[in-house]
Formats: sequence, C-alpha cells, structure tokens
Amino acid sequence: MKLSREHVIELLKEGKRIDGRSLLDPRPIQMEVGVVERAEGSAIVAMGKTRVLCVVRGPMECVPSYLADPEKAVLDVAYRMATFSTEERKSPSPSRREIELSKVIREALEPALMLDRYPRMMIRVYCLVLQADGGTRTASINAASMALAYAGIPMRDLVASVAVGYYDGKILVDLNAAEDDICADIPMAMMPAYNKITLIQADHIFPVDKIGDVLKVGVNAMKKIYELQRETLKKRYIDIARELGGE
Amino acid sequence: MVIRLKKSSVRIVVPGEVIATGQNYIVKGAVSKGLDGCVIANRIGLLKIKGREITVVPLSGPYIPKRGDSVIGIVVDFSVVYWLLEINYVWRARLDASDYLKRPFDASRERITDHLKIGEVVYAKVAHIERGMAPILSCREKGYGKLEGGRLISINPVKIPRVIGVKSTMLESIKRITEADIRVGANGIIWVKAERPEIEELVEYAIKKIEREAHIAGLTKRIQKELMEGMRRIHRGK
Repeated sequence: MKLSREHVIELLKEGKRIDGRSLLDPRPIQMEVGVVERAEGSAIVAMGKTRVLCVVRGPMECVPSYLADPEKAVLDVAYRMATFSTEERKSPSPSRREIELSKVIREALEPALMLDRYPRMMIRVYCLVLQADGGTRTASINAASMALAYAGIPMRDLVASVAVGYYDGKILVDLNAAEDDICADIPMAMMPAYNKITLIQADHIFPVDKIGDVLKVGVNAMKKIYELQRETLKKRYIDIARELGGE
Repeated sequence: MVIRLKKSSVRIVVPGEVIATGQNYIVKGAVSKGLDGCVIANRIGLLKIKGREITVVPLSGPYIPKRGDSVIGIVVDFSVVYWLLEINYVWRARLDASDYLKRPFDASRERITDHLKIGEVVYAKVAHIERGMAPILSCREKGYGKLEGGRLISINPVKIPRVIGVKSTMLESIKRITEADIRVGANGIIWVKAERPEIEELVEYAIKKIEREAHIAGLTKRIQKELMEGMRRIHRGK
C-alpha cells in the first residue's frame, strides 16, 4: 500500500510517524564491517530500508597524477545509486545529484582523516546505494567512516551522520523518503569526540530560530549512531576471540 | 601531574576513543592528541598500558616503508642499471644493480637481465626513503639477495610483528618445529621454503591463523600445538 502525502502530514500533525516510531527515534540501524574481502576496508549500513555499501581502497597511486598533492593524500569519494535502488530504474550514468553528493560526503569526512600521513597518494571511497528510502547521504557517511577506520587509515574520530526534519513546529529524526518529501530536510554529520560538526545542509524553508533545537536533536541522535559504529568495529575483532572460547 | 587512565588492561580501541586524560605519559603507536590535551586512538588497535606508557598497536592498515625495513619484493620491471620491485606499497621500489651485486655494475659490459628477471623474488633492505616517493632498496648487507623456490604468503603488514613475536619467539618456534627456511618481509610478504610442499602448506596455514588471531592472547602456544600436530600428521603420511 502506498501512503499518500496527506496521510503522512496528518500523522505528523498528531506527532506520529508512518512507521510507528516516535519523532526523536532513528530508524532501526544495522551495521557490519569487513564485508568485502578484496578491499582494504568495507562496511554495509542499513538505516530502515535505506541500505548502503561502502568500499575503501588505498592508499594508492594518485590517478590522474596531476591531482597528486605533495603535502597530503587526495580523498576521492564516488557516491552512486544502483539502478535497482529506486522505485523507477535509475540511469547508471552519474547524475548531477550523485556528483554533488560525492563532494558533500568527501567534505564531511575530510576533517576526520589524517591525510597528511600519505603525501602524493589517493584514498578511494565508493558508496553504492543498494536501496534508497531517504537519508542515503547520511547512511553513506556512516558507512564510509567505518570502512575507513576498518582499512586502518589514521582518523581523528569516526564521523556519525543523521538527517533531521522540521515540519510545522515538529522536529523529527532520521527521515525516510515519504517524510523527506514534505519536511525541511537538514542532514548533518559530526565528530563526537571533538564536538565538531563536519556537515550541515538544509533543503527547505524552516524558521531560523529553530536551528538550535534542530542541532540539539541531531547531535543526540548522532551520538547514539556513533556508539553503534564503535561497537560494530570492535565486535568484528571480539567475534574472532569468542570463536576460540576466549574473552 | 596526575595520570588518570580509563582502564588498565589490554583492550580494543577505535578512532576517536579517549584513552587517558591529563598529562605526563609516554605515548606510542596510533595515538594522537584530542580535546583538552587528552590522548585518543587514531586507528583500530590494541591498547596496552604499562605504567606511564600508552601504546596502541594497530590491527589494520597499509604498509609504509621505513628505513632499515627488511622487505620481500617481486621484480616487475627493469631499466639499464636498476630493477623495479613490487613491495606492496603505492610505488615500486628501486633496486640498483650495484646494490644487488655488491660490486660496480658496468652496463656496457653486462646485461641487467642476466642477474634478475621479471617475476623473481628478492629479499632486500630499505636503504632510503623519501616522503611520497619511491623507496630505494639494497642487498649489500649479509643475508639479503635472491630467493629461489619456495612460496610466498601475503598477509596484512600490521600483523608482521606478531608473526615474528616478542624477541622473535613465534618465528623461531615455527622454524624449529617445521625446519623450514622462512624470510619475513615487513611489507606483509613472507617467503617459505621447506623440504616438502605439505610443510610449506602447514606454515602458510599457521601464518594465516596468526594474522586472523593476532589480537588474542596465548597465540604462540596455540600455534606451536597446531604445528606439532601438523608435522606428526605429515610424517605419518610419509
């Protein structure tokens, strides 16, 4: 059954959401690292129905070589949506939106990475959206920061990300596609250990004096996601220990 | 100055994790300064605290050559006076003919391919390294040179210290039990040559096990036990 726009608005006015969660709850999140054996780092993140695979390669030779920076490594992010990820088939050629989101994701990750350790080199991050239901850039950032950490790239902190919505006085966390269509969408990312925001965007009109509340709600949600990222990374190694009957 | 440590045991840390607050400690490995001068991990690693010394031993990461590293390289290209070796790094490493032959090399009198051909394996030392450029190798010291026969095993370079072990206990016990000839490259490539291919396979199995279980205590004993069992099995099948 397809939910009509009116239905979503009606529920939101009552403070309810179409998937039954409360306004400040993110969707159920599943994370796993080391899912691709041939890559140095990889992670898969599912936030509700949104599902993103992220693969990290490198440090490798910088291609094309004229991009090489003698002071630091170049971070190359490619965000792509699979042809089967959307309701209607998505053309496989990179769209304007995909190119823009690649840049947005790169800029959200760069402050966390110690790129000066790898001069003249390149680190490649591929984010492939397998299923899109809103918040694909935030899921991509969450997956990419875990994949980078798993690859052993020195990082100041993990980057956690979530989208916050605003509709008619109500602030809601982690929008799905239906909510994304009607709410003001404010995706953000942060490095919780430094209390620093690395990304904030806003794709609609909302009262300027609400920005503080929006940020507060977002930061709380991102800290929850951050804890989950940490646990997932550690779990990978602890699982091997468990197999041996150790601690 | 007071040191306040969050927990004093070996545990796994992830980037951004606060290890200690306050000052007056010695930090080693994958650690950097966080907010208010606290110590944070910058890679996934094992945290070890010994008195005032904080060490984070990384559990994954790329190989970055250091001067003095012993590496195993595969010849992938050559010019008139040098070879280029693949050493599991961004750039191919250069090995000059005179550094390999330990004597002056005259390109007008001899051919470089008479000494080393593409695909051959060399055990060499990193003689010079420049940030962001190809490293230079040398075989001038004793023990370095061409490796013939045997097989190559590739593992994550950060796990190499574990293959060698504290005071090379792990490596020595593998050598003793299997009687194999083993060279360990800091770049994550290990060369093994034994009397029989079954023994080489056993060593490969053991090294892959070390790579997987590097962060778990009691590894040397587990490996020794498995190797001894494996050797018994091989001898029985003779």
